[in-house]
Amino acid sequence: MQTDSSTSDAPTFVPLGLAGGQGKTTVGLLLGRLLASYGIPVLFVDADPQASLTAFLGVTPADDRPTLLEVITSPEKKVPLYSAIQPVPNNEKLFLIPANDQLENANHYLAASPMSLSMLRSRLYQKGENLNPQDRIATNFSIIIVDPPPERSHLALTSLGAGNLWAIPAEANVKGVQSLMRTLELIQTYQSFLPHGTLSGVIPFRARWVGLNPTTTTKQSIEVMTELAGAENMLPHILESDVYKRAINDQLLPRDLGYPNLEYPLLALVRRIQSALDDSVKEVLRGVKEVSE
Amino acid sequence: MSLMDKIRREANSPTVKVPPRQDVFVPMKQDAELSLPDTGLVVDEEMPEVNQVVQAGQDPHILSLEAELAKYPVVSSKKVGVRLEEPILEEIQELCRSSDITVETLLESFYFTCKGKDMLMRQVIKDAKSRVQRRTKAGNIRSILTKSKNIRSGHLSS
Repeated sequence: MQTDSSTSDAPTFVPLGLAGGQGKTTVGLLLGRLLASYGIPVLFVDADPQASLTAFLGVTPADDRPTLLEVITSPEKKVPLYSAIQPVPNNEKLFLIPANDQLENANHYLAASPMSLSMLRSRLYQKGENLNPQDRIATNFSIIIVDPPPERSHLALTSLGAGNLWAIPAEANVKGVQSLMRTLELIQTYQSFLPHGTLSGVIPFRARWVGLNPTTTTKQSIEVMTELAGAENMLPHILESDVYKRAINDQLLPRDLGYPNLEYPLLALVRRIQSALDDSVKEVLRGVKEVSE
Repeated sequence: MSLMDKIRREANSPTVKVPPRQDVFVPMKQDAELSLPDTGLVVDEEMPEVNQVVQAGQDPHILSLEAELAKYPVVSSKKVGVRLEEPILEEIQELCRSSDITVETLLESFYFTCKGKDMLMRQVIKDAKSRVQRRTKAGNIRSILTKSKNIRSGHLSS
């Protein structure tokens, strides 16, 4: 299934979380792979110096090639945005602005800038650059997915600032509830400065079930999350399952491992965000049975 | 050429390259000599052999920084509050701002420059003494005025 370049700007999706292991990379990566499987071009942006997303996508940036560090710290005349984008191996619809551990330097650069909250967004949407629409990155992709670091840092803030669509995956336990609380507070603090951003939903992560019932911890955690975020913001949870880890490690989707049902929370997320996508993408998704059902 | 073609071509034959990146946590080498402006203070280039004092677990970089710090004069922790005549305060603040110095370092520099010159020092002290007399007189007048006001308004307790 092919899509033409969209004429409107791609929205930026950012899974947020101020603690590690909450599912940000899992959600972002699998969402991107799922959309790409429908022929939708996706640009990933790895904003975490740990560079997990870069590794999971099988990209190894050469030392002398631009990464997100140079996108943030260098002017576009020196490092045009396209030069930092690398195709993902074995998938013609996936692309990545990679990271490596030197991306840590960007925190210091952003700390000294009064524009840190909007820096990444300005670069991704090439604000101030005199370009034809067909040469703009945001019109050549249907969605941009940013993977932020799991801490309250300038890179996390600029990732938040880049987003049109925020989602908060959070483990269904005490740590996850705390992460959700802190992340909701972060959004609340900066929302007034980011009118283009909106919370798409909260995704309980690594929910545990025994037979047909959730464990007590899972059940109670999801109840607290519902109180914190509001029932309207709660999305279907992602189960604790090795299938997701295998899919990520093998650069596949759960369906490729024989578990299409495990994609249900991701399909729910696609349904939630599709109104923000370009009309041509909506048309594609209308034709996808598991999305339109 | 479409943008996607450009991206793929760049991946195969990069035209935009970046220089080696400096790790923010690795201290940069100090190549230049370190010397202060001519105030009679110059940092001695010969530094103690830190290898001889490195103990187990001590960072030699920290030790060399501490040795270097020891060569600088110690700034007193005691603060001296200075109140200046308004026009002079404005001029000094402007001078400090435009010269990128502080009031404290200006005062130190004035003193340091004058103290070796007897005639100049005597002139400065003579002027300072007359300023003290003026301030004392002005302070006495303010005190009388305040007491008069209090008496007139009946606030002064007997």
